[in-house]
Amino acid sequence: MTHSPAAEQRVEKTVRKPAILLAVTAYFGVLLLALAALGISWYRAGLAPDQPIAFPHTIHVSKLNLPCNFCHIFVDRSRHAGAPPLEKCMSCHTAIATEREEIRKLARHYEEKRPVEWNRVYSLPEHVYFSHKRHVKAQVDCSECHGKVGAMKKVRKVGSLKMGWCVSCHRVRGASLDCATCHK
Amino acid sequence: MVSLGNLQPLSPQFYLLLRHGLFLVLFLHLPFLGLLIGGSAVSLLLNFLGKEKRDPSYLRFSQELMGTVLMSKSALFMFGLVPPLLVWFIYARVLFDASPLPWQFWVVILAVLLSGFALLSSYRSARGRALDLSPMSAATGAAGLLAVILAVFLFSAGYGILFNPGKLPLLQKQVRFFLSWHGVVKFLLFLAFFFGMTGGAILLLCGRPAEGDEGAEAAYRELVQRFGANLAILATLVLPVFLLLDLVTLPDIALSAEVFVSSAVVVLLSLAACLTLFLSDRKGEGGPGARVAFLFVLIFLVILLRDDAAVGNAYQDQIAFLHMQAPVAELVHADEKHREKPAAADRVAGDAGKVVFEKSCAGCHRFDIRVVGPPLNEVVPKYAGDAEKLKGFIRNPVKVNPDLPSMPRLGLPEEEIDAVARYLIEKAKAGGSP
Ligand code: HEC
Ligand code: HEC
Ligand code: HEC
Ligand code: HEC
Ligand code: HEC
Ligand code: HEC
Repeated sequence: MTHSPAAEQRVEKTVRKPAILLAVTAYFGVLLLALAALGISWYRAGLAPDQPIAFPHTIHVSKLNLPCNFCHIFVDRSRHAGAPPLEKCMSCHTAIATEREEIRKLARHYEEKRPVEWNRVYSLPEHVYFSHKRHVKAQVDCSECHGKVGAMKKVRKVGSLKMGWCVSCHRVRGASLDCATCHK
Repeated sequence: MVSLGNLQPLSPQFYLLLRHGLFLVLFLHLPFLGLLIGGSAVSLLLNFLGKEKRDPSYLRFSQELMGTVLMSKSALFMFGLVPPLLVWFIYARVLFDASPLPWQFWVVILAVLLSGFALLSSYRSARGRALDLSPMSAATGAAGLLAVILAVFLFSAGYGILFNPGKLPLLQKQVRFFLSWHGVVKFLLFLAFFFGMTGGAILLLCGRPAEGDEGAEAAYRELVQRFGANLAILATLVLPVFLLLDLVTLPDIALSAEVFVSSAVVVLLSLAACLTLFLSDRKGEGGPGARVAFLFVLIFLVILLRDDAAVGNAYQDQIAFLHMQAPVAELVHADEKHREKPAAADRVAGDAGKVVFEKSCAGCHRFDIRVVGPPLNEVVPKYAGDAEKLKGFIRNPVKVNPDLPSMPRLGLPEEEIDAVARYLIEKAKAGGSP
């Protein structure tokens, strides 16, 4: 089979070029889809979820200088730091900023004795054992794991909470690396 | 020892300026290094191919390319060595909490870069002298190339840290934490860009006609254009993949909608560059060279803007923190200035007390009216003769007034408690508001 140069050119124009264009566009289309998937999974992960009451750590921690364990009362005593009981909030907010929308919501919860269901920002899977108490005792600062919470209007997740994250710090600090420490 | 990390903390505006400055410097520096790396690598490859195929046009291309990409010594200095020094300075100031990368790190990068430049310069002059290159000269070129690539790798690893402030405390304890997958991906992304740039530059600048047989000249041009186009096409296909990997390895706190949108823009620009290369018929003047080179510069600009946004995300809390600290920092500063002047001991204590008050108490207390706590003019006079008792209360507050919430225990150091207690007593005695 032999082709004349003209026929060769026709093949190039009608078959090869469109085929290449199609392949290239499809390739980039797949890449864009993958990008969109990454974006959606990031969005769904909700690293800074909206809270039922927009509680600002900025005012309470940085302006009022409340220490963390004033509200997270169990942090140096138990596995969980715990969310503050409403009485704690109301000790101030029966008198302060009572006209604001967010504080009215807070007061309604208090009157109806309905605890606020805060959306969790940090949580570990069931199979991992973690305790705040040990870390606070070992003088690991809250900010090493939670960032500068006092500067966040809305709490956002700073550490990845992946296994590598825990283990890197344990290695540097000379804490236990035994599997059984974290997997019980 | 020089430790830039010990410099004063920054004001938020200055921080922002430095951060953008960092990316501006990179925008000037990396394309330059990219041409150098891409050009030398391709020149060495052509040299090898020319010898294998016994085709002198490859050797001629190799020679022409090397003459195009490697600039004069002063340009090398300006674009190659000054920027890393600037980056060093800016870097140390941006990561103000810590000085994660010791100055030795940057000295190593500079030394490696410098030796790479020297070796490549020597390769270039050998390359320019004759088509036939001695194996020794080729080896010199390869060594120089490897050195510059090594410097870029080290730099990328350090650059990767910028996106992950959570790692800084680890890094300060163990140097090996400066290696990360994210740093490696950044390196690969840069390499892809380098070769794309080089492809564009070849299309734009190489294949200049010379005296001689017209047919041979056309064949040479064809070779150069084909080579440049293939290189650029390869880069447009690979670069977006590394960009996706970069997104995967970027720490969560650096991500935001802007980062995803600008990544999509980079993918689309790569598509545009790729189609430009396929659709142009690559013949004659006005080939795709200028457009492709421009698109690659644009791609790099968007990548840097994206990285700038990502670093901003990663440090957003620290910046908010600086903003909040600024007024207090000013007060402390003013206080320090006061202290330089000779003054009565009490007056000094009063100023220090004022600073502590503004920092730790003013959120809840004023002298004249009730805020969270009671107006201090009403409650402090009962402590007038007894600073110790007041200090005891501040150290460890007990319930006083059932109509008010309890005052939290603030955990202040003893000097601050002492200063603020004296300040309160004096101030309340005067009866004025601050
Ligand atoms: C005035 C009370 C108060 C103080 C003081 C306070 N917090 Fe909180 N914190 C809360 C409340 C209420 C929530 C739940 C709402 C939210 O997530 O914003 C919370 C949530 C959090 C969360 C997210 C928990 C999760 O996973 O859902 C972290 C982390 C946290 N606080 C850390 C700190 C740190 C660190 C400090 C000290 C610097 C601190 N907090 C001081 C009241 C407080
Ligand atoms: C020590 C006293 C104190 C405690 C305890 C306290 N707050 Fe506050 N809170 C304040 C002050 C003071 C403000 C600032 C009010 C203003 O802007 O004038 C404030 C502001 C707020 C605001 C912002 C109001 C707005 O829209 O501007 C919210 C929401 C809030 N607090 C919720 C809470 C919650 C929830 C708790 C319990 C976890 C809590 N507070 C505990 C003192 C307190
Ligand atoms: C070693 C890292 C680390 C340190 C240090 C740390 N946290 Fe946490 N924090 C976590 C992890 C991990 C979780 C998720 C726990 C879970 O899901 O069981 C968490 C969860 C929380 C929560 C969510 C609710 C809960 O009860 O678990 C709060 C609130 C909190 N931390 C506050 C603090 C405060 C306040 C400090 C400082 C006193 C602190 N954390 C120090 C790692 C840390
Ligand atoms: C910022 C550093 C840091 C991070 C991050 C960290 N840890 Fe730790 N952890 C420590 C230190 C330090 C100790 C040692 C405490 C001691 O010696 O009592 C410790 C101790 C522990 C212990 C108790 C060990 C024992 O000997 O019984 C457990 C369990 C633990 N960590 C789990 C975790 C888990 C799970 C994570 C990740 C979600 C994590 N840690 C992340 C610093 C860290
Ligand atoms: C310092 C705490 C820590 C230690 C020590 C540790 N792990 Fe984990 N591990 C974790 C955490 C946290 C997760 C959850 C990660 C996540 O949510 O993705 C995890 C998850 C896992 C998983 C589930 C897979 C996954 O990524 O979710 C396996 C399997 C596992 N660990 C095995 C081990 C083995 C084997 C060892 C001992 C060599 C070990 N771990 C030691 C903290 C630890
Ligand atoms: C989180 C808010 C808050 C902060 C911060 C705070 N206070 Fe108070 N303060 C209170 C409250 C509420 C009371 C009322 C306590 C009571 O009557 O039981 C109070 C009461 C007092 C009293 C009166 C005690 C009495 O005998 O009646 C003094 C004095 C005082 N505070 C000094 C200080 C000083 C000094 C600081 C800063 C170092 C400070 N406070 C920081 C909330 C605060």
